[in-house]
Amino acid sequence: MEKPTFYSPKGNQLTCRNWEAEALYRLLLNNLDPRVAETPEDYIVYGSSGKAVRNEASLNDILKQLQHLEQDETLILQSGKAVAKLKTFYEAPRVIMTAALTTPENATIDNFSKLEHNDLTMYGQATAASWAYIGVQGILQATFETMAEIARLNFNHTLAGRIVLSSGLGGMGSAQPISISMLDGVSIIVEVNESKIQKRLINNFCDICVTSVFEAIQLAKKAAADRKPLAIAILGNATDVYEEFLNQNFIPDIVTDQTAAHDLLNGYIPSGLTLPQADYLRMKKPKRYIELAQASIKKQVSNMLKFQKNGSIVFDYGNNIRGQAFNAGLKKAFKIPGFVESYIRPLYEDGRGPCRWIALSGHPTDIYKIDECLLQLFKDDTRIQRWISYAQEQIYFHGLPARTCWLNYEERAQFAEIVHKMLVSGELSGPVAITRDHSEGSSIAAPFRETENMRDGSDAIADWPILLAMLNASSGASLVSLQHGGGVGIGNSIHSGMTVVADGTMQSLRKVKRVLTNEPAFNIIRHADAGYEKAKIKISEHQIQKPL
Amino acid sequence: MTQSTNTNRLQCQGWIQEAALRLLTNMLSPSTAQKLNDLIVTGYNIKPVRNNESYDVIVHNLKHLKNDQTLLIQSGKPVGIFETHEMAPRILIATANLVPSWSHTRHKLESDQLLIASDFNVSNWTSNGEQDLLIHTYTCFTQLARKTFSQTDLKGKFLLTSGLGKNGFIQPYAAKLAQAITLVVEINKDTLIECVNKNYCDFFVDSLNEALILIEQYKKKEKPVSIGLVGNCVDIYEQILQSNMKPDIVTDQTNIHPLCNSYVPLGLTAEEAASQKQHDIESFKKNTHSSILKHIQTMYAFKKAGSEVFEFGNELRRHAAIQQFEKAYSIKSYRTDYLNPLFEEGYSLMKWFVLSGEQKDLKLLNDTLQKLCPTNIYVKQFAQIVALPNRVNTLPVGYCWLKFNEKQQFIQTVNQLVAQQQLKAPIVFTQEILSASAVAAPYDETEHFKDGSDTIADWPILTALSNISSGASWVSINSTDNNKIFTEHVFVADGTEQAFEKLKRLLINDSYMSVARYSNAGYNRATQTLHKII
Repeated sequence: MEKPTFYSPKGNQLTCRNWEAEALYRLLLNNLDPRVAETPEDYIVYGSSGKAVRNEASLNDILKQLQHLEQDETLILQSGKAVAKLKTFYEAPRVIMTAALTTPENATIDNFSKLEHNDLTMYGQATAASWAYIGVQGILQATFETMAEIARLNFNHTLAGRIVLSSGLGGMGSAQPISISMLDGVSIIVEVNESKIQKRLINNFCDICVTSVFEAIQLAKKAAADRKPLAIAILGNATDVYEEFLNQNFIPDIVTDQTAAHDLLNGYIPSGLTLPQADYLRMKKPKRYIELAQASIKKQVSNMLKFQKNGSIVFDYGNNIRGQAFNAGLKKAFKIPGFVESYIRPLYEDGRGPCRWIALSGHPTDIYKIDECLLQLFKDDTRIQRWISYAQEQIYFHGLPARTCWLNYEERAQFAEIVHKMLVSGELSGPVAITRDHSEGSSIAAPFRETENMRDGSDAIADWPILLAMLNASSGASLVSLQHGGGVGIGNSIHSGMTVVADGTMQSLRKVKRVLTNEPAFNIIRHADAGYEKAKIKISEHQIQKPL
Repeated sequence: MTQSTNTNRLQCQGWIQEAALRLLTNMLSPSTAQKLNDLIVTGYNIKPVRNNESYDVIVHNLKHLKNDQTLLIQSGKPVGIFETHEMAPRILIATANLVPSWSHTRHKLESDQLLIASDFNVSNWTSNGEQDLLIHTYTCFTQLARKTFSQTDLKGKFLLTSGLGKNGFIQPYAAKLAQAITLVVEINKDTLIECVNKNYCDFFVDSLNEALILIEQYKKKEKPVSIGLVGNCVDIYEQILQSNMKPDIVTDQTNIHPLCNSYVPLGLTAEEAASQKQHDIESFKKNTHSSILKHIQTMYAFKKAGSEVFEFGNELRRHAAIQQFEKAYSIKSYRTDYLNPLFEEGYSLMKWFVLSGEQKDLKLLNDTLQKLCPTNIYVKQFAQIVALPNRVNTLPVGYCWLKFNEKQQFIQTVNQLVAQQQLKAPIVFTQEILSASAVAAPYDETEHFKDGSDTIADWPILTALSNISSGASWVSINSTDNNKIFTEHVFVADGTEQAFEKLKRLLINDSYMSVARYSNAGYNRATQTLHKII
């Protein structure tokens, strides 16, 4: 039987009874749009296993429930399945959800797989379960901000003449070549799956595909010498190709990795296996498969350490590859720094973080109008200026048009007003859903990534994302989630998602403004509490109330 | 610490903040807290706030917190005040929650002052000290009586138990309250003496023989008594097995979990155990393991011989199962076998604090309850329980098992009574035993769920967030021991219009979530109950 294809409705005709429910209804379907989702027929949005709902029955149920949800009711979802619809308040969320949470001692892959197999839970990645995935743009900006920060710190704001070596062209990894090109750099990305490379060539994320290391080196060196951007995809296994580059004594300026190393069994392809062999082995002998993956990752990370020794800037890009290598016996794995600590945390200290908004009307002009407004209003914020201009040029909208943009504390509260005004004046053709990535200042505890090496040692404290979820539920968010696993895998993170809907009414403005004020304030508080000076200054500058 | 002020005068901007202030000070009063100077309320290390500075600042914040603001507490430390709205909680608390794979760093983080250990009630600022434990233990004994002996209490029944430590010290008192004839074995003589001095245990005897003779006499008269005996419980249990006195009920509350912490293995005195633990940990571990195995074997033998045997939440079966004792889980659990059936039917054990401090108000509440729920079998039983002898200058507290519709009626009525000023000050309601939707604990509350969802922790978080959305006055999410995540909430019936609005939602929603947890796990009775709630 053929499965239906999902698309979000567009325009101003309501499918649901109010815009909050409608927004979430549309975001859910948009997450499953074949142009957005990785494997929509399995409800997988991204990250090889991140699902939006448990299964077909739960999707149908959730859609039906949303259609009939009143503006003082709340739908409760337990790992992708609706378990209750409750009478609450208008100010309360319309949807409350959790995904993949287990008791700490049992947060192991074995136990989780068992629970998943028995249809008791669902892996939700981050924005898959919370229906806030908007395709590659979100990841693109995170990658862009990271690369831009490396360029700022090391290469005078540009990657022109620099070569970056990385791997993985999946949902996350494909943001690398385009971000590097945006900053005029040369990228070589290793990918084992030819169809993924084809996809990236078609949508212009990569310029050329090569199959030999020799070719890659030649092309890269030439482009770098000309200070021209070039995105090269090389077909092969990351472990093998990195090794070969070392053998050739080719040392790129920057080296990282974005293979699905967080998921040893279903994500990572070990050195020496073809794709069909990998599929067969993981079915037949999963233990053996994991052993091979571990050995391969261990080698990969020791090669990355060699690049580091030879002068490359090397960092872990949040796929837990160091953790996996460490577990496989590579003691020095953590000599490689994490990208958040090095490049992103300074932004968090400002309360700056990855906001995103979606035009529920489906009209790209709504997004462009907001873009223009931001470019006008935030003239002094060079980050916003640079990003929006790039994004307008590079990003094609798939599904509902959306924009991601890193806004700081003050900008977020202003953003609430801006969107509201544009809705009231009729400039926008429909309401706007405002959401964000889970990778934020207080929304995640992930000691291998976002909270690695916190100054006070509070890396593993998960009170913060839990409090943030509680705070958002109290402030007026339309959707609140608390989730486990995310991009770093089972056991390794607790994180919270949020979506709030601006529909142009005064009461919605009240909610949107509170959420967009409280959330960045809490991000700053989390960092001030850990002893970060810049955050402490922001506390007094913005008169944020932090009792102790 | 300041004494809690028991009047109807407000020190805060609203009664919810006032309630939090009074409950916090009540908990940290000399008759509730165990080690007041360290802010420790129960156990060895369970504090409601991080330190003295946090306490002072929280008190100050509560006094100034507006009725549309929310105070956030991270592991006992006040970290933020935010503009929210009137229907939102005034306080949000998260304690000792960790990223799962780093759970083993809990103690280090605690000693680095980045978190405090959490426990039921204390972390939610709703502890009533030893009285809570009494109610817990008592309710287990009486539910056992109902399930196993079809009687309302343990009259005429010989109960054999052990361990007067952390949670066990109240057992003889609770068992006597439940009319049982109790023999409690304790390894540490000083602990036993202290228990007797506090009047929690009637007296102690020097030999098992003497104890058994007395028990026979009391059994004949069907007169309740609690008798203490110094000794190793495994040893004594074995001797009782050899004798011709058969206990009706066997359990124990020795400190088994965490293993090798304070358990005293068979053959060692408490001092010897401590010394061996320090000097020869390997031998100590070996002794502990073999002792646990013998421990459960004797309990299993009692079961074979026809006694009602159950584990009292100390994870004995779990550690025995690790020691390859296959039949470990054929022994019952206090939670799964005695309490869960109540939750499936939509019951919850409610607790209420009388903020005025007046016994008259407490009595009015009990009278109201009797009028409202004439068929509820628990009302009379719980109304008779008087406060423990050491409870002075504390807020009066009531407890009772109420079905969801009774709970609804009762709390609505109480809110009315507050509005009409028939009660001198507002009443604070909370749940005394966690419903399964409020907790994930595979070795305790959520053990052996029908569908295997023991370790799923979505439910407590969903319950917390839905209570936040339904008008709860404050809400907490806490973790203990690496295998328990739980949420608690409070409702302050202050007689306001908003309180009525909140109640309409909170009461239904919390009951719904609680029963939905069982219904989702495939319990049919719960599914039937669910249809009655909405």
